[in-house]
Amino acid sequence: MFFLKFTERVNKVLQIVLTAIFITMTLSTFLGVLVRFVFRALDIQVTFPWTEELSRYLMIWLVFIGASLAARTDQLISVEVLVHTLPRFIGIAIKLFSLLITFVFFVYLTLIGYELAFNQGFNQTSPILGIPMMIVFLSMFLGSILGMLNLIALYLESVFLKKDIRFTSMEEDSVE
Amino acid sequence: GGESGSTDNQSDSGNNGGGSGDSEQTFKFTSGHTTSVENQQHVGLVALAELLEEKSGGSITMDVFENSQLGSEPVMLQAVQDGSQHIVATSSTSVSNFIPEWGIFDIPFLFESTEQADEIVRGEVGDRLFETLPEHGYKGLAWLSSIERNIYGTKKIESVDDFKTATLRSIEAPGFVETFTTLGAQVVTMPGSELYTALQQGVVEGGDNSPELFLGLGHDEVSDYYNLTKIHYLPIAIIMSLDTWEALTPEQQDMVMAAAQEAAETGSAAYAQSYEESFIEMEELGVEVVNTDLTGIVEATKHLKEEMANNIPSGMELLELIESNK
Amino acid sequence: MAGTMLVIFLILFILSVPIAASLGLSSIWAIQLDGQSINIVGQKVFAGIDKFVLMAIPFFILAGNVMQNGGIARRLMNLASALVGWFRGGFGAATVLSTMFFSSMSGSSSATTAAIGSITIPQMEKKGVPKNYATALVASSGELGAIIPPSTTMIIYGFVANVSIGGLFLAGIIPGLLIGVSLIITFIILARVMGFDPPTKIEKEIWLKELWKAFKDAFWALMMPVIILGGIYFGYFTPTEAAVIAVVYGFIIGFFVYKEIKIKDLMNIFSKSAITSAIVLLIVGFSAIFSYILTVNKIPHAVGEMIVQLTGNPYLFLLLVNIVVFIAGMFMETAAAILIIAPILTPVATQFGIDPIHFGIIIIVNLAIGMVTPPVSLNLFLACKIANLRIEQLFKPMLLFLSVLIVNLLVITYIPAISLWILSL
Ligand code: NA
Ligand code: NA
Repeated sequence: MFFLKFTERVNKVLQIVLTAIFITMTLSTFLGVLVRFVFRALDIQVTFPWTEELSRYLMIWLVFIGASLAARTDQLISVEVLVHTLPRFIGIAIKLFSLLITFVFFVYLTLIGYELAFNQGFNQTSPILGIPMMIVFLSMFLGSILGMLNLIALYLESVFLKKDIRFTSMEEDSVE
Repeated sequence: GGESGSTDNQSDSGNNGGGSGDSEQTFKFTSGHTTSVENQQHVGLVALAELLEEKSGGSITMDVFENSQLGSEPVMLQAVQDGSQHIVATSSTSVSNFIPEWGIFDIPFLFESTEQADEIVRGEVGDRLFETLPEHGYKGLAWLSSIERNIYGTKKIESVDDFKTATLRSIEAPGFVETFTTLGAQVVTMPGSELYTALQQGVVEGGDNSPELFLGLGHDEVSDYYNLTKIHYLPIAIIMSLDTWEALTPEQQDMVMAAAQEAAETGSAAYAQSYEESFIEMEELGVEVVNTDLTGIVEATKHLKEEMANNIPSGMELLELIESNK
Repeated sequence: MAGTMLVIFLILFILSVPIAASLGLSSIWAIQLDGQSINIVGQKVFAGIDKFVLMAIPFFILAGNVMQNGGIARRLMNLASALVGWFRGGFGAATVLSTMFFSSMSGSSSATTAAIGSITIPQMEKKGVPKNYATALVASSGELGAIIPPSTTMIIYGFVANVSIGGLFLAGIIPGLLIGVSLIITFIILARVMGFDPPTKIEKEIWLKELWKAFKDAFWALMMPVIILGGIYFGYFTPTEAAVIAVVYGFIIGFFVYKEIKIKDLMNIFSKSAITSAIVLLIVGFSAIFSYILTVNKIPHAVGEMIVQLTGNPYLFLLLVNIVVFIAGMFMETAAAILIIAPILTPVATQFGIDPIHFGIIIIVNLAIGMVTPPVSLNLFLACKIANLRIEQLFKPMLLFLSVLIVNLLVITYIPAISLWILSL
């Protein structure tokens, strides 16, 4: 199905983006450590006060992009007692309802993210890097749009491939 | 958004205090600061709460949340901007994230004493800065005392040379980072809540704060020296949400303004008293107070004054205004 | 407003809406019903995750996945079984011991369970340990991942309760050892009573030789906790720095020493760790707005006063806390439970004169047990998946191990020195 294929391709790109963010975040934080231990010991006078701020902002992007990908396989942590203890039909109904609510959640986040990025983000700059905060706030806006996309894909997959949607989250490696 | 605050948000403003919709609206303000209950921020805001209730005959009340319960200063400022929080007591540095002009006080050795700083800030200079606020959705109410930030920790700083071998924690403000770096120190930025452990474990050798906050945060437990480096005097302002301000009747506005002035005096007096008491307490606690030789430090950072002022919108103008008011 | 929010939250929570969404939507709707602007939601969520200390979470999760892919878990198991595998119950002991080793490198208890379980359950089965006992042991000892430092749970606790994370890390060492040792003893007694996992006859010289070989092979892996904990203990670095060093170190040994990580695995390791971190941090973010509303409405204050009125006795208070947290742990995921509970209870504990680090360890140990208490029990679920068993089949052995864990919890609760002694060194 075209939509599922499309989402799959988008997600592949997102995985690459996520990897790039995580690697940069690691290197930037590690650079901060290097400065303190190695450069200092070698008596090299440099400071990179921006490493911490950069890493933090990358982490924020990582959270919203990562969460959108987690939505695709229903990995967002929830308490599924009712879904699995009630009869199959009711369990599926509850699961579908909870996914619908999650979709509504992403709709709200898109609106809030939009307001934050395009109205408040213009007026505020980051303390160290001096970049407009819009660049950081945009993560919520974009992440939630991608999250909605993935929720639709999850729903369509269960309809067309006749998967029992209650168990999608268990097919993946579980996480804390 | 900031610009819209002064005009089209009027319709929302009734919600600020859960008003009844009558002409005589009642307000319940939320206010916050990041220090503990002994500090001038708290004393000032509590005084303001009492004055408001008293003068309004109970129609205006205010809750005061201490210890960053409502978040850091920038976070509270954001909430004040859109009116979900009503009042905040904050340092100038945090405001500079929203309004760069306020970064002027991050310039090293701008003032020579708290008295001088307070006198200048409460005059023309402070008025100029308060004028920048409404455009961003704020209303400046009053100035608490400026605080004298000194460097403390496990490193004794007797002269400019001691900076060259020091690892210092700085608040996240380019003015601070640049000053310490210029002096030759290794600079680490980390949240204030991590500084205790960082000092204890030797991750950094020093941080800076005013005497009463140094003790209030318990940093004396992990410090041997309190060095009187007197590099920064940071003004503390009481700021209100413009939405909230505009929801008040002119009479209420006058009343709030008067109450804020009085509360700021009470707060400032508390700072002055705790400043003196802090040094007595330090002596009892065995923290050595070091009379740092400032000449070399002032000399080494002299060029920063204009450099930094040039990077701040109307910075040179403000700098000249400050100098001419001395 | 807070009341509305709590009711909406509970309804969504029970209807299996993701916890982050339940926290977020209940806050959003409560604010809207109160007629206020929801802009504050975005601000608080960003402020909630824009924290350097929280970065230790993705880094320790990444470090754990690097280890799992780098052949480190297997080497630790080899060392542990060379060390204690020869006596009766020795393979169970080795399982717990290797879990303890791995816990000192990994920040999460589910990563620990997954890494160790897949290697140890088949090995124990070969030694005649009933599969359900082997699986229950793996699940129970997996909780050490959150108690023996580093621990993402401790990072979250330290962050919300404003307690030193480095301090929590150190305070977790002895409780972790205590639980590990008591699980080993339980298993040895069990092996004797039920007659499985028999001793292996082995010459002393051969034993020493094998031990030396296993030790050499695991040496670079074993340096990891030395670097992490030593670095924090002696003040070289903060937990976040320790975490990033763990990542870099893990990659170096995985790539160059053990040569088990391949370039093509990289994207999978990074993106999987990123998604796991995102899931946890999203909850952290939305709990920020949720607790903000609780704070502004003075709920923690009210709860605190209520508890103080209920009892003035610190011992009784701790018992009450343990019961409440245990029930929360049955139903909730650890991070979410801490984010909601810690800001409310920690100030009350301080009023009772309880050290916040000790209190943190109590909550963390309790919630770590929650990882194996149904119905929400990630470790149990993971271990069952590895062993291909159903959770009901673990009922009997879990009852035994759970009682051991609960006794440990009570000992840790009422003897503060177990947690705090190490900090006085
Ligand atoms: Na661990
Ligand atoms: Na549980």
